[in-house]
Amino acid sequence: MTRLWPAPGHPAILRTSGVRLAALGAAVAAMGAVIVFVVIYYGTLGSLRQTLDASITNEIGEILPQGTATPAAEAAGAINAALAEKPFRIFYALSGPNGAALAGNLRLPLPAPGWHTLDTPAGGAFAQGVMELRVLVVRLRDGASLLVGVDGTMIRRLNDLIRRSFLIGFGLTLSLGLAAGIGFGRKALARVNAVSLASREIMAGDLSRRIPLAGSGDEFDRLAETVNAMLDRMQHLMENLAAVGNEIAHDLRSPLARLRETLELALRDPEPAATGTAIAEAIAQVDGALALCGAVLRLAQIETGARRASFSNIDLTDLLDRLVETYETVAEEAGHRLIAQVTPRLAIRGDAQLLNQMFANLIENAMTHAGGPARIGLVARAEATRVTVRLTDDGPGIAPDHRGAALRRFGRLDPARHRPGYGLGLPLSAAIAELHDAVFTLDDATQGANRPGLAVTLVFPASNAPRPGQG
Amino acid sequence: MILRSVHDRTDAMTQPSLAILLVEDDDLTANLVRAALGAEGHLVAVAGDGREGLLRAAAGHEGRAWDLLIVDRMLPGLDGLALVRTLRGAGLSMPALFLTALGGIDDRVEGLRAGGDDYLVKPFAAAELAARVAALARRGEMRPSGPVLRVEDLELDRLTRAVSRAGRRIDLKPREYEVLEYMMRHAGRVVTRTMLLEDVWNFHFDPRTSVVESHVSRLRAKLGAGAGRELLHTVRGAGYRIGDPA
Repeated sequence: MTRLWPAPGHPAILRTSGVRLAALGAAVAAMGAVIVFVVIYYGTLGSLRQTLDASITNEIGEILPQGTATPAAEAAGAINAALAEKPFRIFYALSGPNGAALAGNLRLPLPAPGWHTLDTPAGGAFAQGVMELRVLVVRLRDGASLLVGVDGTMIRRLNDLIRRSFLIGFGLTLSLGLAAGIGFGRKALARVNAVSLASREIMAGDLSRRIPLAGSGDEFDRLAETVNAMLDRMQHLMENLAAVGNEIAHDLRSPLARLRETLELALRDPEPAATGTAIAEAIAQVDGALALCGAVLRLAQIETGARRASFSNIDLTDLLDRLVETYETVAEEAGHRLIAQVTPRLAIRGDAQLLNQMFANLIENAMTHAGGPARIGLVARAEATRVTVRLTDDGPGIAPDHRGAALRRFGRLDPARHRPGYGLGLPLSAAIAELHDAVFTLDDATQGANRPGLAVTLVFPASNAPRPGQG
Repeated sequence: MILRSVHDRTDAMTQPSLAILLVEDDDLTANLVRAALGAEGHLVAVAGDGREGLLRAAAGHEGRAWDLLIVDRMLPGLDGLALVRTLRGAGLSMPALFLTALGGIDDRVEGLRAGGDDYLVKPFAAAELAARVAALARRGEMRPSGPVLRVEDLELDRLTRAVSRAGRRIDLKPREYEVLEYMMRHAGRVVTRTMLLEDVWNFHFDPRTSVVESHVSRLRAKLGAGAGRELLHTVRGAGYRIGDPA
């Protein structure tokens, strides 16, 4: 048997919750069986014994018409009269004060007065098939003793029968319960072992490993699904982390290399004016590197979700109108066109600062990646319980198989990295969208066109809080 | 350690020098701040940790309260938030500017909640710091101005949002109006690009397009359309200023 834990003396299977639960169940069932047995046993035997006792009392009443005052001789006569009728399995014994037998069909030393159950004597049965006698011994006033007994074999048989059936039933309950428990336990143990094995492989570094599902949709499958989802997220984060390390190093290398060149040139140039220029240039290069660090830190902070605590009701219409007005001015200067259509009174829950950054980012992306004068569209509208914002441009767009990379940190579409830009813009926007429970999708703005353009669609859950009516 | 700047500025820098307490444990940053503000004619004293900072902030300078506090968020002894919160609790109301680490997006809100008046992300440009300090010091002495702001022949009515120059009405878009109002409230002082982004646009990031430049150039064109003297100046390496230096 495979052991989950090294447990001296106890195989792991006995420590599984399945076995424990089954053992508990079996114990409760066994206790129930005992109670049932006791009730049946005493109920059945008790009523049987009562019947027998009643017939004995009855018989004694006939033999002793005057009770214990009946003389022994009269009792002997009554016994003989009763015996003449060949009674079926009724036994009588009458002995004098000295113990001598006076009458009856049973020869044995009489026990003390009172009720007794007599077992088969050592020498053989009382009579044919009679294994047990139920007797009442009465002492008469004249010193004689009378015994009247009836066949109690039935009681013994019934007794044996009940005991045997109980033992069989009890044994079956216990053994079936334990067997089921061990069966469940082994099954559970196998599942847990599978989880444990997968977890160990994951710990050993294989982050792509997943916990196998049995396909039954039971609680183990649901647990495994949850754990797998957690692993997906972890793998995503780890990949991100690994990529970030690379990319930060890569992105920091160029400004730092330029910085080094600048400083080295300045060192060689004795002109004081050149030194000033070189320092200004060096500061600009360091600023570039710092901006990158800042963006990475900001993204990391947004991804922790801590900002959600400060969410408030946002007048999205007002926020977008302000951005549109701002970027209309910027667009005109640069030869772009920004055409917006914002439905009044759109409300969502969120963080105005981050939303500002996200939309500004997306609009600026559209401007910088169009590769010339761009035509940018922004449509925001409410749909039932959602607020949809769609931003389109007429630039080159992003091919479907590059969209995943565009949303990853530093995933740049330009392999040569000549153009600054997408770097953190889209991942940051996506992270802000996720923080707001918004669905963020990239798409072609115009299907099938040569330059399809990029469409970014954000679907926010609408804020249902009542809002002052402001535009 | 108190260092009085002997840097006498003659180029129209007529504002009275400020007594500033800087609570900062990093010597390099402290020196940069001292150099930047000393060049503006301010007096800068440095406290090296939070506890000393609290004591000196409460004690004041030469029998007067400090004009301004500059407090690093992360300090040994007592952190900057707790320091300012304690001072505010004790009834000290001088303006406080927080210096925060790079990338701390929640720092601003926390700082303002603790009783700070402004914040600046490290590393910062000397000109940015000087402009913020000037704006904060001004806030302290801000006289109750009426609804109409005036710079030479330029008038801005904050109730009707009407802007006119030499009696000639100027039509501004909402954002242009807000930029102008902000600059006129800080007339004669340098307003940096970051101040405009944060206070007019609520942009707490660096946009990649020329958001501020586009608006300022529009505004300048509209203000200067009817000739007259140039009012909106670009201060190289620092920002913009409306009117002559205060």
